Amino acid sequence: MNKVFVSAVLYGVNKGINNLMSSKAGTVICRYISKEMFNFLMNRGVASPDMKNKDLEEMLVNKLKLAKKIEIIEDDKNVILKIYQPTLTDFLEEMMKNKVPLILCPFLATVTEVYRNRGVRIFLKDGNPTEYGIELVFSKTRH
Amino acid sequence: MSLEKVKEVSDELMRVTGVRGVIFSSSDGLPLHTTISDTELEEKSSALSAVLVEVCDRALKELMNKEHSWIGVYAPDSSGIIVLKVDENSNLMVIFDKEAKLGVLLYTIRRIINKLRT
Repeated sequence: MNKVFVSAVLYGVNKGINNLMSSKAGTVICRYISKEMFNFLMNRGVASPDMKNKDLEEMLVNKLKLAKKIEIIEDDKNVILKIYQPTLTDFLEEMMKNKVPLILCPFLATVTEVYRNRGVRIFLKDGNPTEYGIELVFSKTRH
Repeated sequence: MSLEKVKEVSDELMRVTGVRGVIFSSSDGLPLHTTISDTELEEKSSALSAVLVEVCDRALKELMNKEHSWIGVYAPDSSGIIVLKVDENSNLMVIFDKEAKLGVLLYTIRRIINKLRT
């Protein structure tokens, strides 16, 4: 599939939800979308419920081919996802250019689900372009 | 808003005739305190509360430039749900059956919301 089309779908989902609802309602809906996306990936043998960060990095880079390299850095409060040379740049560039809040993207969906399976809720706090690609910062809450 | 106070007002709401369930949830759709024992339903109703509040807020803002006071969703037999924002960080959903008297229920909800906000 053409990656421009995938970008168009992702851009449309984010912009459409933001236009009609709010980013907060969108985030709640996307939590459910992420869950089903992850279930789909598990059914296809791409993901597993108890993935370690290294497995997650490997899945995003080698199986899903979403970036050249990914680093996950974690402390008590935050999870930082460093995405080197992401492949879906059209969608991310358009989102940033039009200041559309990010509520659903493949990184968000997979990382939040992997952490949810560990009993940790993470929420996107910040997303910034960097010289190597993008950095996504998630805040952690345990329950 | 303390959890003890939330539990106290939940008990108060559950004593109103026809009330079948009370769900306090965070504004991002996660359960805070509920009287429902089904975990999946508890999670789903918390998520639905957040979406309903946000969508109704957006609808009123776009169409009338106003904020909602409360949201009522009714079934044909007069049972239904009431959803409202408690404060910026939390929402309340009350599930009622056809035995409930809407006036009494809304009066009680307003009273307990005021109690929670003070």
